[in-house]
Amino acid sequence: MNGLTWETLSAWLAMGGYGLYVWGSLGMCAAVFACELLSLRAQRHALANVDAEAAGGAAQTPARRPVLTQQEQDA
Amino acid sequence: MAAQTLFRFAAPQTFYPLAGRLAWLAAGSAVVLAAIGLWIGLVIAPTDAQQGEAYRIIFVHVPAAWMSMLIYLVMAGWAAVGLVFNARLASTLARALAPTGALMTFLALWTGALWGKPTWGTWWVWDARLTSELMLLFLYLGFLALHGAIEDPRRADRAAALLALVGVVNVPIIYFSVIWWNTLHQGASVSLTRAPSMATTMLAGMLVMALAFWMYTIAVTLWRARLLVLEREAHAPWAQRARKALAGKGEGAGPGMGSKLGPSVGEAMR
Repeated sequence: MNGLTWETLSAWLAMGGYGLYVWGSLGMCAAVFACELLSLRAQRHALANVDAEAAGGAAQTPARRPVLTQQEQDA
Repeated sequence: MAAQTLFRFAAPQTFYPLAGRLAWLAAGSAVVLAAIGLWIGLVIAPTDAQQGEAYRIIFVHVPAAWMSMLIYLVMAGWAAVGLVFNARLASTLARALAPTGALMTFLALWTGALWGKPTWGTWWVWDARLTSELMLLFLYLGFLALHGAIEDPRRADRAAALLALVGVVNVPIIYFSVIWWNTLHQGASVSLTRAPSMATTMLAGMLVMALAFWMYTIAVTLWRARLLVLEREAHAPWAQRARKALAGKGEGAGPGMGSKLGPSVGEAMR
C-alpha cells in the first residue's frame, strides 16, 4: 500500500467503469474554461485592432469601427 | 478614510491597472489550487463505498454549482449598487460576472447529468433542484440578452439590474429545494451547522477545487471587466493610451495582459 488508490494507469483512466462520466465532466469543464479564456483574448485583440484601424494603420482583421460617443462627435 | 479609499477605486482609471494585477494573482492561485485539488480528488481520495468511482464528479460538480449561485448573488449585488448609486464600475462588474455565471451554471447541469445517468439511471429529471438550476441559467442568459439589446450602456445597466434583482428569489429556491421538496437530488453534504457527511480527504479535495473555481472566476471576471471598462471609457485619454498599449502586446501575451499604465487622474477628469 503506497497510499494511492490506483495500481495502474489504465485502471485510473477506466475509473471503475465510470470513465466516460468522470472524464466527460472534467473534460467539459476544461473545454469551457479554455473557450472562455480564448474568447477574452479574442476580444482583447479586437479592441486593439479597432484602434489600429482608427489610427489609419493596417489592421489585421477588418474590425468594426468604434461607434463614436457624443463627446467624440463634439470634439 | 475607508469610504474615500473605496471611492478612489471606483474610478475606472484606478480600477483598470489594479484589476490587471489582481487578475494574474487570482489566475496563478487558480492553477495551483486546481492542481492540488485534482491530485487529491482523482489520485488520493478513496473509492466511494456506494457509488464507486462515479462520485469523483463531485470535485467539479459541487464547485460549479456553488459558484453558479454565488456569482448570481454577487452579480445582483453589484447591479443593485450600480442602480442605487449610479456607479458605472459596479454595473460593469455585474455585466462582467454574468457570462462566467452562465458557464458555471451550464457546467453544474452538464456534470450533474453525467452524474445522474450512472447513479439515478437518468440524465435529467424535472425535480425542484434541477429545474430551479435550469431557471438560473435562463436568468443569466436573460440578463445578457437584455443588456445586449439596449444600445445605451447606462440604460442597459439599469434594465438588466432590475432583471437580476427580481431573479434573486431563485437562489434560495435552488439552495433549499432539496429540503423544501422531496427531490431525487441528495441533500447538502456540507453545511455550516453540522459536521460534513463525507470522508475528510473527499471533503478536502472538494473544498480546494471550490477555491480554485473561485479564483478562476475572479481572474476572468476582472479581465472581462477591464475590457468592458476600456470599451465604455473610450472617450477618456487614459483609456485610449491603455488600448494603444494593448495593441502593442505580442500574440503570446495572456488574456487581459494589460499595461501597467498608472492612472492619470488629472487628464481623465479634464
